[in-house]
Amino acid sequence: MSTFYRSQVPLIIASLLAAFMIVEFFLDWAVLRTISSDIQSWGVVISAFALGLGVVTLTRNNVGIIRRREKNWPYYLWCLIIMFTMIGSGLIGPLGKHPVFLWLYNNAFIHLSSTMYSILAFFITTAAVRAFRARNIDAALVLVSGVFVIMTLAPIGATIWSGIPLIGQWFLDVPNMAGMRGIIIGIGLGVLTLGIRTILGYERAHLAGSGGEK
Amino acid sequence: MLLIIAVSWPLLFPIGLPVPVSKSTRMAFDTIEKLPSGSLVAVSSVLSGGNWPDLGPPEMALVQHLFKKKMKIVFIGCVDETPTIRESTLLPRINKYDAQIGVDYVNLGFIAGAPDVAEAAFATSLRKVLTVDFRGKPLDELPIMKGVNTLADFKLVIHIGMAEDPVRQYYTPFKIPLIVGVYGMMGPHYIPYLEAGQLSGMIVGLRGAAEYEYLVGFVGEGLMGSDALSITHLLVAICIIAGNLAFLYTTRGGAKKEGTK
Repeated sequence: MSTFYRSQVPLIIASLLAAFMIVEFFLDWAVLRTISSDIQSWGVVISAFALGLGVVTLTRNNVGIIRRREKNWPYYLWCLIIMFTMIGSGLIGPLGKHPVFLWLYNNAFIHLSSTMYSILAFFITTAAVRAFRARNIDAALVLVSGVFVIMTLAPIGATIWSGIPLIGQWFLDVPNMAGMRGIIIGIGLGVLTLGIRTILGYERAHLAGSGGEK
Repeated sequence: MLLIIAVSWPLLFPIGLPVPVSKSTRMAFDTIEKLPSGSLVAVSSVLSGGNWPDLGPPEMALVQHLFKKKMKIVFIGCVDETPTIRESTLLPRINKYDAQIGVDYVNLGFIAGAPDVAEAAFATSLRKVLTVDFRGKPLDELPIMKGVNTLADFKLVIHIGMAEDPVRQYYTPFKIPLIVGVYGMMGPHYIPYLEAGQLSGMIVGLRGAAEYEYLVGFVGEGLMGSDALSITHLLVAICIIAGNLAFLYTTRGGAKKEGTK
């Protein structure tokens, strides 16, 4: 495929669509609204296809690893077995409600997912102990405010001392909000810049492997 | 090991610590209380097995309140797991007060493109991206969906997940009240949206769910997990303080030793 079709055509499509969506947001015209609504529906269709593409890519990669007997290949095989069992049982009628699918989902998938999420508690605890270390005045301030906010966010804080939630809430409402507003405004300006660069064709990272930044 | 004990002990032997209600939770409760019965409410979510411990209880508490107030509820999922987890885990645990499916509530399933694309499509072109509900029934045959075409037809929208994308896709174009249920760690991040009036209420993780359950008068996972949350937070605070005392002791001890040399 020539460079024109691989990079220029997607760039033109992305720029035109992005520019159209911005114009539509500011002009309240029925025709533009209808076209914009259609474009958003295309987004949903493309996203749905991406799920299927993900299955194909994962299968191809895993089959390659299993064939070559690479390190930990049985895990890749197990991944494929589980994935196709879930897909297969989910597709058998009634769609998504087959007893095998629901049994696997309710008794295995939910608990495994929750376990993965819960493991974060151990990392967060050790990370908090390491991060909140009063090495200097700045770190000491972070430590004090952090402890007050932690105890404010837990119902037990008010039981220990009624002043904890008052001080903690002040930290949340004043310094935290000021900092967060700054971050949000900064992100907004960054996104705006990125959008303008994308529309003008200077930003090419979204073209995945066909050029990067100009 | 201490953390495992701190989590499991209060779950097995509840202490019953008081749950003070925060401003953001009270705002969410008051917003729903002010709505007349029978109002159409959209509940969009990114609920999944992984985030259930933090996002499941807020959604459960809010939906319980909606059913109690006899609202008409339209559920939509922005990730593939959401409709299944609602059907298998959330809805069976809730007292639906004789609400009829298709008339008082409906699970529309999932729209691909999490989260912004799905939310934008649901808000602006619902009928184009969905023709049947999660059970395969055509939307045109559902009494609850009669005359519902865009988010403008709803009186309130609740989103469980993050807060930036629903502010962008729901609140900004339609200006209808928006309540969010967010991860516990993300609560402080979204206070500016609350103070700016873009959010009509915010339930922050398990703790927010406990507060909301207390207000609604329903004992769910929030209140049951509230003691465990308190004890684990206390443990983290104690660990931080103990770690700093040890740090001070070792650094000062080191300095003294160097001084004596």
